[in-house]
Amino acid sequence: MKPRFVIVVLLILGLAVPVSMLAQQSKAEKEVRAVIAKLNEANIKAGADAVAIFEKYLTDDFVRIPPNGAVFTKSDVVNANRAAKSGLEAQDLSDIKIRIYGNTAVVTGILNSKGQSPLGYGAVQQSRWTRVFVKRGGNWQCVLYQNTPIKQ
Amino acid sequence: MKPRLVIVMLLVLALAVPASMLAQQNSKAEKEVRAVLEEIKQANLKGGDEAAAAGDKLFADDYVRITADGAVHNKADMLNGFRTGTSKDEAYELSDIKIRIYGKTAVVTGILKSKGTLLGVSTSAAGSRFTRVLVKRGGKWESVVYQSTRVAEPANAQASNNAPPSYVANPANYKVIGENDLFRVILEKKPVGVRDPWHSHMDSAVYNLTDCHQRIYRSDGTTREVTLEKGSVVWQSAMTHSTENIGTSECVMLLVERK
Repeated sequence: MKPRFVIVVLLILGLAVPVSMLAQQSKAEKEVRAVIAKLNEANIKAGADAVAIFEKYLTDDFVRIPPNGAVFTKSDVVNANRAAKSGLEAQDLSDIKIRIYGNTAVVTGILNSKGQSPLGYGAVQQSRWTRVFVKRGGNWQCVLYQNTPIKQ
Repeated sequence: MKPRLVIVMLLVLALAVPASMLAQQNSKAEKEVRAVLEEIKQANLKGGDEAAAAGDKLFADDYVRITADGAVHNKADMLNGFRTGTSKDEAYELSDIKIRIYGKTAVVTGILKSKGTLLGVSTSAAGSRFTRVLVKRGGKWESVVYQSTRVAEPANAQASNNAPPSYVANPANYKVIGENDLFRVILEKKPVGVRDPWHSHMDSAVYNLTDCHQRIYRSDGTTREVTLEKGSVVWQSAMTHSTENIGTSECVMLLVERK
């Protein structure tokens, strides 16, 4: 095999690996966005539908830190939603940034929300949030969700 | 030895070895992460060029810092804050630290009570609940995100601070069944699903007459679930709280409170 040909093959391979990694990241980002959409749907719905979503997409060791700095567990979220007749009136996510680190995704963004959370804390107009996801058994699950009110 | 028994034993061993290895790895990772938390603490207390050099090593290039006011800063902002002296703490106390390891990622939550400035803005000494996410790259842990949220006084902080005794706040469920100059004996009977109003207790011994699964709401805004066994005794210092029976049967307990 000619040396020039070998170099060309190596160059192609060298480029192919990062391109394939980028494709994987892009796929992971899409999957994480889909899970965020499901969790948002649950926050609006509350009740049995929300419970099913939270059971599926929150890890058993999930931690929720709401805008008042309290701490809630997965069972707190599930129980509160099971008992709730309604969830948030509206919520709008923006400035979403997803970073993938292997089987972990760190997502930050802004949340504009209206209404009362089934967990009992009052509505915060605008907050900055972080969600952390891990991929287990082929599915992304949320391990942490924290939001902080944005000082106006 | 029967072949079936051998297969079962091999299966148990095959499961036990990875579980034990994983536990060891996680414990090692936790130690490493704690050491990084300590380095970050020291950098915040020192400030200046030394802190900037430490921060350069401890913060990932894509580091994101979300402050208790909801502002966003990057690594360059943080290092600049140290260098210019606009970020420095006189006090930096961590508590309630919980570290969870997911492969090469660590998710840390806790409370930080600090006194100082972050990029010129005073940090709250009252305390904030934080999340720090770290990723291990090239053999070292780097912080990729840090978010803090002020721990608010509970909505009924006033009620919590001036909470009446249990038998006054919730006479339906707390009854005084005897007292003298030194002690007051209270019988608590709480049906399933009932959460009582904020109330206070003196130093007391609690004898659990039934199994009881309840959620405790504390005045710092946090909650905790506890399972109390029938026949057990719990000692509690004077405090205010609210409790909710989240079990499947009535909670009955006898409280002997010091006056």
